[in-house]
Amino acid sequence: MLVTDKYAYTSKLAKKDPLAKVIFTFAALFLCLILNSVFVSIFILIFFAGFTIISNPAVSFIKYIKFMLIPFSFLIMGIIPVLITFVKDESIIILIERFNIGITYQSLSASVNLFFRALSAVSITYFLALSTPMVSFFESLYKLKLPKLFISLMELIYRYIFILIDEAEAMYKAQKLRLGYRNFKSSLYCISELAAMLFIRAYKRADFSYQALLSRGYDGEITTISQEYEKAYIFYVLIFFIAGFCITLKAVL
Amino acid sequence: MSESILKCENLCFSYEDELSLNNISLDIKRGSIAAILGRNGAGKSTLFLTLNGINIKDKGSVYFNDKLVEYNKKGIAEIRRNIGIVFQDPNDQLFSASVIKDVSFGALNLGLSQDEARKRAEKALKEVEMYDYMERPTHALSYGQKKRVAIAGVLVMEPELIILDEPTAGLDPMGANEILVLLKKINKEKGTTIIIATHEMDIVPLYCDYAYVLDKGSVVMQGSPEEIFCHADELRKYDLRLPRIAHLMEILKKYDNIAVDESIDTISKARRAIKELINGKSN
Repeated sequence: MLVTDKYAYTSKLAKKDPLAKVIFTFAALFLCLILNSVFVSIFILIFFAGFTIISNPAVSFIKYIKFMLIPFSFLIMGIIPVLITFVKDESIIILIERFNIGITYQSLSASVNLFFRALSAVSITYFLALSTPMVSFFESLYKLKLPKLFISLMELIYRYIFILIDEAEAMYKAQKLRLGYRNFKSSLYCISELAAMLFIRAYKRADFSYQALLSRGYDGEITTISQEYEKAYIFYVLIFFIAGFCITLKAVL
Repeated sequence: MSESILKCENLCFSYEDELSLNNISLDIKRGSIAAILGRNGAGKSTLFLTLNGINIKDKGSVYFNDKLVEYNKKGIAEIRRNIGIVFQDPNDQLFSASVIKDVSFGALNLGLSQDEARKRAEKALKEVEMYDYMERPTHALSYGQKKRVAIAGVLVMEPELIILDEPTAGLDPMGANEILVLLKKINKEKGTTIIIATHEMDIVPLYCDYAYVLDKGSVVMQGSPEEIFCHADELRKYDLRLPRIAHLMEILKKYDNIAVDESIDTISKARRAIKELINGKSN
């Protein structure tokens, strides 16, 4: 999430209305999940991969493939149990004869379907992640009238994740320099110390931050100015275009 | 210019039964830059938090613009508007991932409209020369840049008095210098009174008009920088030191019997004195 956020700032769509992008993304996700067709999934996958790569000059094709590989391993792990089942009658291949375990036509088609559906959903999410900085994403949540407290919490968490990571990194280095993590036992000990210290520091820092907020007039609600974004009605048009195309695709094939 | 902007009389505060501030009396002049010196744990930060009502004082009174500050809800809101505090670590202060949003926070808390707050935030960012970084995410800024944004976040409320806790800590010499020049500029152009808490002694004679030395929660010394640096031994008792130049003058006088003025504490004053000495001898 932290890496993709860096790339989000370089997208040509970064300054476009985040709400439109969020609605566009969720509409596409909805379509992709509800239509449940391999061809629709493949179309969406190609469309969103292309859209992301074209709209973001910092994300090359290779880079995009690398991003895609992150969920890939999880995906493969998830598909194996679907692919390999108890064979009752027909089968493509029997792997373990004694238990009649193998791959059937049904399981193959189900896993291919699942594979592309998941991958296309990932490509849709990547489109949002690689074109919308988190700050803009929060902005769209405000516009969706979600509870303010909830969004404020998200914003604060997002901001302080970076500080937490920095501190953890510094502590980890300090431990390593003093020969921490040299074997399994020491690793367990070091990681527990690190977690405990991190918790204490977070607690202290929260106290300081609260004081800083108070001295700037905090009264229970974090209010900041809302950013201006370029209007992007094109996304709403795109929703209809994609929906139409996907539904025809599903009907024809 | 000599009227007082902030006055404390016998301010006391105890933290978990431990007396942290012991009868503090201060008188900060309007338009001045004052230094509050003291070793770590001397009570500097506690003092600031007590002044703006985050710590509840035990006794004593605070006057802002010769008006007694009532520490009730309204009074606290007013004092926080008038006294801006820049915390030591900008990471504690910057809560938003967007620079402009963070800076606008204080302005909106004053009850300003969105447009007005945006204008003020942009102005404050220009003042600290961070306008070009407005759209950047906070975590992508350097430490010095974060410090500037933190200052902008306070400037945006247009306080009459700004307190900075260790403004030069963690900065490289160039960055530290830039921050101080910036503070001087704010002080000159806007007439904002500034209090700097520090133990960086060399900046005191250069930038400050008046200094207080705090130790164990009490004011133990006060006066103009020259006056304070005349009492080197007393300063050392509180784990502080002279500015390097003043220290040099002390050594020259004590061990080398050269008749130099001990109140010399900056490079420019020392230069003048040395030139005079040389010219005097050659004449």
